[in-house]
Amino acid sequence: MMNIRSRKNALRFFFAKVIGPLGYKFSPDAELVEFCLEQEVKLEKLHGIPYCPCKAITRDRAQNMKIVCPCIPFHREHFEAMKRCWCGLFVRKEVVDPDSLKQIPEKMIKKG
Amino acid sequence: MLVEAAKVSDIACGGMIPVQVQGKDLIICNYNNNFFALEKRCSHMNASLDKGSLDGYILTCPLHFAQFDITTGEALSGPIPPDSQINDLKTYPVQVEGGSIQVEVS
Repeated sequence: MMNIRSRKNALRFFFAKVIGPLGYKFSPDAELVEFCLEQEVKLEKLHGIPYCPCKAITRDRAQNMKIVCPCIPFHREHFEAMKRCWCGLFVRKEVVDPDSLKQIPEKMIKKG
Repeated sequence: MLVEAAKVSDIACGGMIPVQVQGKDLIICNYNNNFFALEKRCSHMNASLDKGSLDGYILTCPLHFAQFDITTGEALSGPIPPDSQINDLKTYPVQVEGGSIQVEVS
């Protein structure tokens, strides 16, 4: 039987390999990280895929694939502007105070 | 009783091989030069786990991508699509002596 803590650790292990080269790290807010990972484990149990816990799953598979955690590669410009991912699970490596970062809707980000 | 299952030199770090020990099909995994022996067949649909992939301590089944912790045998995630429950894998005690990997299967 699967246990949530073990699966959270496994996701942490896999995600760390992906986000590092992209310039991100786990948020220093440990409580937030634990919470987000736990939601992802629950989503994975339900759907077989650890979707972003902060975005809605739709009936469009192509769109859904863009919110599989870590979804940074699909939202580079948006997340770079916020210095965090939408959930705040990942922040840019230089960030030390994640609470100072705010969610900014994508349409408010100037496209470069 | 400990039985030689493989040589240390048979398994590169991060690798795994299938072996048969006293009639039992096992895989032996090398994780950071620590060796772990587990049953070879996935507890979901009997896929041969040596055809899967080993990433750190996590072994992924080639058939439906269930994942297991090789250090404990614990099932970390079920098959995809998530159609059924999955059980942990049986693990076996391993001892390395000289260049020999010995497993206790009985």
